[in-house]
Amino acid sequence: MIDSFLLYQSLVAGIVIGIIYALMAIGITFIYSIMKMINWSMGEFYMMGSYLQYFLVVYILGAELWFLGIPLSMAVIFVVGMYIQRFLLKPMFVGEMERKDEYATVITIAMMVFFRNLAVVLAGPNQFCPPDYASPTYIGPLPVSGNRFVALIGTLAILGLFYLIVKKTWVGRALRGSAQNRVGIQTAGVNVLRVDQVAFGIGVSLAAAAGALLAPIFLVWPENGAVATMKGFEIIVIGGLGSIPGSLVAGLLLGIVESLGSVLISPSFKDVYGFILVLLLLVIRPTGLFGERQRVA
Amino acid sequence: MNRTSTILEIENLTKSFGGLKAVDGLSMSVEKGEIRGIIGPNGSGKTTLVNLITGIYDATSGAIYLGGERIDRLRPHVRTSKGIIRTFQIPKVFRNMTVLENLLVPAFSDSQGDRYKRHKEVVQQAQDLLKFVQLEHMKNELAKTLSGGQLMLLQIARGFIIDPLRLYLMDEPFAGVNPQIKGVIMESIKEMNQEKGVTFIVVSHEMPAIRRLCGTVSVMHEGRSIAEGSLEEVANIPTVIEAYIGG
Repeated sequence: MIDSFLLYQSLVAGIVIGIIYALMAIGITFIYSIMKMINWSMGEFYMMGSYLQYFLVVYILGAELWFLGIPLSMAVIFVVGMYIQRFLLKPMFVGEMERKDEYATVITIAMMVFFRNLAVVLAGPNQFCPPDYASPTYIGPLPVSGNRFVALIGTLAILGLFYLIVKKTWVGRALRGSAQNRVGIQTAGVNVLRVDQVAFGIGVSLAAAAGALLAPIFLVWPENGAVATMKGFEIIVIGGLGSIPGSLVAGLLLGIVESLGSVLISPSFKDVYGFILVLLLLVIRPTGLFGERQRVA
Repeated sequence: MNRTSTILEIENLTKSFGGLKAVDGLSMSVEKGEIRGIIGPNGSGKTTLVNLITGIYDATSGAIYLGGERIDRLRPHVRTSKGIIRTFQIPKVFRNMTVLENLLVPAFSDSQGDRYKRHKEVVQQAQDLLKFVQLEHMKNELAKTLSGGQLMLLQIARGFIIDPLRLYLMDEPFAGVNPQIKGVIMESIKEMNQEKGVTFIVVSHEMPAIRRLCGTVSVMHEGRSIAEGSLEEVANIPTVIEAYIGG
């Protein structure tokens, strides 16, 4: 018989980690929905976010000001992302409006290899851990790690800000318009290449935020983005490619399934539960929970 | 209305897709304030021409001038900022935005300078345009809930909000549209032409509509303009008859 307290605790842990996973997935799906390309180097932006946060907290801001490191890491990666888009990915769309998917695939995989190795060259292969953000706390009667609680609150705040930008601002309207009709938005007078640049910047800064928020939990090392990327893609398959609400729901679902599976069956197969969920979804609903069939017209 | 100066000049325009020349050395000029019809059998290059003028395609060779300024190397949004607007045969609207939001996207786009400073005024203008095309009652509905004809009206209204609006290209605006909406589209074209002096190029297979709207029509066949004149004039030209019946 499973203790109900333990069950609730793992449910809460699943929700917490699921929402943080979703942040990464939303970054991937946001870039995809606008540029119609998969950024295979998303994990490396997560990794850079975690390194930046570690560097800022340990060498510049101090442990008390850890919370300033997160927006700063996001801002730096936003700018880096904008420049990477401008100089490496923009050629994908230059000339006629034909996408060159293979171009984006090659470039982003090359970026993945480059940034991982750059991290090894600059900081070595070792793992680093920034100081804890907060001491253990409670959600209702359930104890939860302070770092995870901070990551949850931080993620919710970032998602709230993201929602406001996308829904309530003119830039957000141009971003949504580009996602809904890339040709239509250009003939409506919007510079879609600039929209791409902003979208890429926002998408990778979400990954950086996840890296910075999770730095004390999953540590800082050159390949720490690989797991986050894998989870991000699992979520996208579950939620539906291009659907932001889908990413959120699928993130929660994945977190809960992994967490409950660990308690009810065995923690050794934690990653397997997510894959089973992905396989089930692919069989039952190949477009994902919120995905729509592509219309070709 | 000034009909003496040319707004659009196309010189020897060619667009090749591999071995196929969709537009083949086409030259054409359109006068300011004109409503020009473009007709021709399927596959004659009408939509490709619209795509070339609006920057969806890059020309293989030739030149396009708007009011004397060469525009064929400019990106689509820059051409919009110069006052070139278009509609698509399958309306390219933002399906998950409201009808009103669909008009606000171009109203505050890069091409419209610091218009966002007059936010309330522009929103009111968007609402007036929706009234003009009889969609005001649906302004808060998502665009995906609209019928095909209403989507066409929305697409047309979206173009009217661009400032300046000099040349409006409409690609099959009457296709699949019911007679009542067809009437609204025709009235809005006439009114914008007469009151604001907007030049229109209307690509259509609907001869009654072309007859009512257009003083001059250009007939395209195999990527070339084979005749120009009133609909009655071109209808009697043997090459035009031959193009239509596939001789």
